[in-house]
Amino acid sequence: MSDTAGPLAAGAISALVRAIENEFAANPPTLCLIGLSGVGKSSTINAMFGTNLAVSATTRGTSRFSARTFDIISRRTEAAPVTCKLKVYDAPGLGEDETLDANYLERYRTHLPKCDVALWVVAARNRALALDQRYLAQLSDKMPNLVIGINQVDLVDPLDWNTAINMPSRGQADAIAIVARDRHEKLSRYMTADCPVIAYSAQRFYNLQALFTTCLKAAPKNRRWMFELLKSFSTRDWLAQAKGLSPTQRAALAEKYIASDSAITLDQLAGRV
Amino acid sequence: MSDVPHDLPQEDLDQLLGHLAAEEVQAEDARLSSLESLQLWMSAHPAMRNMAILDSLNQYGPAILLVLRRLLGL
Repeated sequence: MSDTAGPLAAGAISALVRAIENEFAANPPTLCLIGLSGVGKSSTINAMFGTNLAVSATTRGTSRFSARTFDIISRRTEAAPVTCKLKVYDAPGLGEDETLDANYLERYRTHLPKCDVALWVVAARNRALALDQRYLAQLSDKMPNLVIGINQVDLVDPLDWNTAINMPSRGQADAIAIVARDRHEKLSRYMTADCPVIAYSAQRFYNLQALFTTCLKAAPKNRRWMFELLKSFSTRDWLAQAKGLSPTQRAALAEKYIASDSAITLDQLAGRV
Repeated sequence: MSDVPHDLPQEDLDQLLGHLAAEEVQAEDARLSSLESLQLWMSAHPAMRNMAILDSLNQYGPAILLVLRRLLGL
């Protein structure tokens, strides 16, 4: 495509950028992050959106419910840098101390209705779901857009992750499928409506795209584009960890098969609006 | 795949390519959903209407498309 936009185009670009940035500033996409301490909530958000949420401290005696707004320069735009925002509600210490959890849950109940998406993260290796079930029962009526993520699938038995292709072994893939069905069954009992469950590894970028797409599609329809602009990873990040391929081979595969790095295709826009 | 050199066993290669394809399907799904979403937002946004961008689309269809493509980095 020619890259020679005229004066009209230049003016429209700055107007669009302004409108988009204003929308992000006034109504930032908002994500409520829920899950027990240590399941990889922060790693998940950091991997998807390039944020810098700190991983949980080992011990802490005070309430750690946080509402943070991140400024993120979109990697999806080239013609003009667009400053986007992402608001994240999080209680990194959930499940560490029962005396604090009541406060966390109350604050989640306050903020959940304002969120575009609620992402509930559990660790694949953790079979003890009683606390998740208890908290889910207390919050489920406040979560219309819930997605459950099962993180750390690389740590599922028999612990033989295939590092050559950065994927589970056949046996591990079977076990992950069983884990996903089990967690879905055990958690859905405490939900007012069914919700999608995605098994992934944030650290290895495995299935992170599936989690991202599911979260995006759980958001209100007129706000999904904001999450796409915030996306800061691609299939290349997963492929980069396939140790059985040389850098040259990875580059060749990416060149041939990966198109998701390119920006949103708007070919049909003029015809649809 | 024959033109991409590799040393992986065929089974691994098949798995890798299968997952690669699945990832791209997911990414495309998100992109299409975002496109639809952007259209919804634009059509409901007062400032967009005031800027007459939507009105201009019919008149300046290709030019506006170019604007949006540049904005979104195509």
